[in-house]
Amino acid sequence: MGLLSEGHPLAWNEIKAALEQLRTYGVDQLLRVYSKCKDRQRDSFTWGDELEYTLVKFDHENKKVQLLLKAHKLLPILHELNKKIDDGECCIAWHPEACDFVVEGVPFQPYGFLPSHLNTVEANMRLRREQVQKFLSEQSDNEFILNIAAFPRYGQGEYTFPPVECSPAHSTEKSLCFPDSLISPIHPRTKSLSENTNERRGAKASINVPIYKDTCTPIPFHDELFKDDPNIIDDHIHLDSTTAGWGCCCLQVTFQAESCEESLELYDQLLPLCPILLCLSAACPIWRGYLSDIDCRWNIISEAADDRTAEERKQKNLFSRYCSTPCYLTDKNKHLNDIKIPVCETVVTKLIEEGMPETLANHFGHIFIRDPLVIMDRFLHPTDDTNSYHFENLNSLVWNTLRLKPPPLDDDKMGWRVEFRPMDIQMTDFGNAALTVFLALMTRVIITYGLNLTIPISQVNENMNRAHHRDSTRQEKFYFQSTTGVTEMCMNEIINGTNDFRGLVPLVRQYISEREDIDADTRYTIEQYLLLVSKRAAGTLLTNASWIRQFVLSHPSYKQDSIVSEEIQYDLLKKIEQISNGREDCPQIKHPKMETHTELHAH
Amino acid sequence: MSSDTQNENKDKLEPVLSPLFPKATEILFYTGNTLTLFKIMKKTNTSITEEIVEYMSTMLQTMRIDMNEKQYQNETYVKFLPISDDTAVTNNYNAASPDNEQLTREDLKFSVKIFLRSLEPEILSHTIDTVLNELKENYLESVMLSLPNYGAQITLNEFLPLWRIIEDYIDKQKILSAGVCDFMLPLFSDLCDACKHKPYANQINLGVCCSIPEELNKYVKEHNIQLLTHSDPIDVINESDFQGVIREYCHEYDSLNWKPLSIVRYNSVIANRGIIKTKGFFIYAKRELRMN
Repeated sequence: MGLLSEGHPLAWNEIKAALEQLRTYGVDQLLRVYSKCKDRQRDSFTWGDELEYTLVKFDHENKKVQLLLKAHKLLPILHELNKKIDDGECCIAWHPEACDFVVEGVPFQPYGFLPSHLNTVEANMRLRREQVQKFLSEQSDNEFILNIAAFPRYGQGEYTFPPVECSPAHSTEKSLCFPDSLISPIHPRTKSLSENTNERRGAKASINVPIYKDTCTPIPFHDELFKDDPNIIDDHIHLDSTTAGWGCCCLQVTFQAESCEESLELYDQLLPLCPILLCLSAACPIWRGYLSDIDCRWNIISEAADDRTAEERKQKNLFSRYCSTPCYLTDKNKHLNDIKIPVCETVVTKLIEEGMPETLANHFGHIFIRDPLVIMDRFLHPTDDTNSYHFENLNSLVWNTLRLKPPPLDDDKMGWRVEFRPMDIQMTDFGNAALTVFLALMTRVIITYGLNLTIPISQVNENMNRAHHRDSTRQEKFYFQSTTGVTEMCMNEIINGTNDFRGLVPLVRQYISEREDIDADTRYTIEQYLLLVSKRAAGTLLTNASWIRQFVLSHPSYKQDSIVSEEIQYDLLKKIEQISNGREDCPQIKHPKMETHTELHAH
Repeated sequence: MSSDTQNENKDKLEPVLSPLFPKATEILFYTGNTLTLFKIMKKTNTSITEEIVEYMSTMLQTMRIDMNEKQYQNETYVKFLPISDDTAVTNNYNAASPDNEQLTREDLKFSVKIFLRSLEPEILSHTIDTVLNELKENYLESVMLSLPNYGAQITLNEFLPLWRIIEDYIDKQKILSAGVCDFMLPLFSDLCDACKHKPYANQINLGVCCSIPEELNKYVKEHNIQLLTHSDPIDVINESDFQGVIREYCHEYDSLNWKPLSIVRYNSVIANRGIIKTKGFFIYAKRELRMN
């Protein structure tokens, strides 16, 4: 997450004093990047995924499981280990994340354009957990690395190991249950981000998540812990810290495009797919130990990371800096940008003057209305023209469902990239690989056949909200561009097709069958992934969120009161551990016959 | 073109009063790049047979609308070629591509699958020459050879003359690598032992095999041969379907006796990006005429 560099972060008031200057640096650097790279062509299709993992510790005697604050110890060890690995395809790059119980793993070498690369994704994901698990297992039988989108009792009771004091005195934000000691000590950047967000906002974060109303859930439900907090709402679970959002984990995939033009086209076509993939990936039904009425993390982090002041919240169309992508990038899709977002007019004018197309200039103009929340002191004043720190820094401090990443000034090998960011992380390597590979294939399908899936932004936003709803995969309809124009279709129709519309999975199969060069192992693996996506959309397999919900609802000690007790959480996570490490099947999520044979090396 | 539109247009065509190509004993359909023609988002039956029939229909319909009656009267080898240069893959690889992209030959990988409905070596040579000529390419990266009936019951001795032809093109560097389709052991290993240029790949139908045949998988891995996959049926188009399409748009006599002998599906892929650039078909048939 973000740019990691050594040095000391500036305090918020220091950044505030330099905002104009920082904006000027950023715009100049963007212009330099654009001018240098706008005509760049023939970049290969390279791509990669990023997974955020959660460290946990089980206490079998007391039937408890807690978040393990050990990332800071593991990361240097992992770094050393991978330095010694010569084979690029077996090497992992590990990064710290905001919270000390999260580590981020990325393949050291991006995946490439050979079909057989698609058959390496799952093996690479498995390798990442194996690297970490090996160290954890050396020290203890009870420590595990798992794929958890939102730890069920995060913020409830004694939820960490080692235990940390939870009180306003222990939190810069004055949060009641998310103390500063959750934050990774490894890097000053993340702590600075938290502090500056809070200071700029002028208040602690306030997030209300609708509770799932079960038969014994109090009517209305009051979140007792926050009974004195004026920001709570009846029938909602309350979260009161930016850190509540940063502890969530996601799956991100980045694709390199052939040129600037292709990157903008691809970005625009992936935009309407964000809510679709979010819906399919839904994995977070439990918040602060309560079953909620939503299944996804996105809107919650959106509120947690929101740095808007009280005044700014009254402004029209100025949303959280962590929000659904607010606009298309190409001029030809300009008419679909029906939500008029605020932009920094002087920046837009300057960009257009220097030759940037209007719609793209507006996109950057919108990014530049944001303040850079973190600045490392040694980079404050650029000493030369060779890097684009200020632009990239700001770009990385705006979190949308897509991110356009222009080439860095100081690396000629990297091209224009699009980052796809909406998906909740899946419990299993298979699940993450399935969504990743499906998406990668969709990008090839989109470009090969010149698909146009675009719909107005307002409809994409509506889709994003619907995707969050409990069991949205089976219950909701989404605006979608098909053969007869934009209609509301259910997930099954979008993915598997209708009488008129081919459907996304059949489109991928069409593409695959038209390539003559897909080897049998890869073809077989892809088929399992397509079956997963297809059946999940059809409702015959469950999303992670639905399965977790079902687990809780049918647990013997669940009291129909929406409460996920320590014991239920323990059993749930134990089961997830067994499933993700292959010791147990979970036929509601994946048929046992859907076996893949992936390997680390492409041919 | 949707079949509705085709039906409409067909109704507008006048009935054919006399044969359009009475002397023809050879016929070729070359579709050009079909990637732009195919209405990708619509649900259609995507069997290869239906696809080919649809393209043949479109070409015949266009011929009927555009032609002058005498055009093919004396032709013994009738060729239906792409409608305009835009749909053909000429040496301008950038036709029908986004404004700024500049592709060269080296960026592309041409893959060709030849479905033979006859084991006569002459047919294979003619097919390869036709593909090279019409695509205006000096070489093809990959040629896969598929035999009648998935090559069931063919012996090595029956197959070798065909493979020799392929090896010849490889020696001339017109084909860079070639492979076979649906070969099982021991035929596949016998071929590898007996030939000069080993097949670089064996393409099998996973739907038919259900899972990857273990012995074969072991063999290819040991010998550094790729195991590829296809989902093509055992017979891509038969006499009846082929003649049927011609009958729809031409005179009854024009459709008589045609036997499709080779069908080619080709594509070009932008190699370092996995983007299919062009895709199309060749269908070649012959017939004997009882009358002069």
